[in-house]
Amino acid sequence: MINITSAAFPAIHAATEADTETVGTPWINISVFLAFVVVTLVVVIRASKSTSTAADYYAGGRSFSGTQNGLAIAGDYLSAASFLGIVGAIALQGYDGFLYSIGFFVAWLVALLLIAEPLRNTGKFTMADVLSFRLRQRPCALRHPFRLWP
Amino acid sequence: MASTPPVDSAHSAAYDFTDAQRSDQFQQLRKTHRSFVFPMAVAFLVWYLLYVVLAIYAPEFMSQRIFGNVNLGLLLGLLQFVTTFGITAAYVSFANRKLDPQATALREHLEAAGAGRGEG
Repeated sequence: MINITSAAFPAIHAATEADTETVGTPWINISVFLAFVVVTLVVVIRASKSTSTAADYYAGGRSFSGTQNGLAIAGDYLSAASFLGIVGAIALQGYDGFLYSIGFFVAWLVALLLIAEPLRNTGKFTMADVLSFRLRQRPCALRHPFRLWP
Repeated sequence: MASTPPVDSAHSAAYDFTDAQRSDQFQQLRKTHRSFVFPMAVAFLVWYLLYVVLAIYAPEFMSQRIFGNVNLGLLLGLLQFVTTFGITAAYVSFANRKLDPQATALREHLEAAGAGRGEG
């Protein structure tokens, strides 16, 4: 367990002192949040009207180009992994955080070279589908909850 | 790759997949795919592990100043980015040049055979 003392981490100490005053105006923050939620719901409900097959749901009916898909993946990773995780890792651990983020990035090559094309060729959409398609069904379904990543 | 739709179960009865899997065309396609993917996977894994091991066991080597505030460690990390993009571009061009023609030819062969069998 890491014992964070305010002497060793002056930035955290200053932040806890500033907790007594609010950051920004609360009603603006909440309305921006609600606007995002409403826009997302509208897009999803409109898209759901034309979704019928599994290919439509999982893979967008295979109507997205490679670039569009890449942008979607980048959007995923720009939210939590980069802004929260990697920034924090570099701030707290310096070069080790940078090294950690490179691991994230190089790992995409494993997905690209070894997994992407064969997985797409099976015509299945999730890792669990592919594994149960290729291996015996019952033991595979039992191991499903213990996978580490989807 | 984007133009090949998956075969759904309604049509799969018309295709003889076992024959296709044993055919020379398919084995050649698989060999072509593996001949690129496996050496490239080994290469980038070795390069990445070398980078990590250097960072752990040779900190003085990695902390040599190259210019300004940039040291060798930062440069090698950015080089990892460059090689990752390079490998992706190489794979895309390889797939377009070598894999897609073979896969399309195989698919058309399968569909022609399947259509013949479905009608007859």
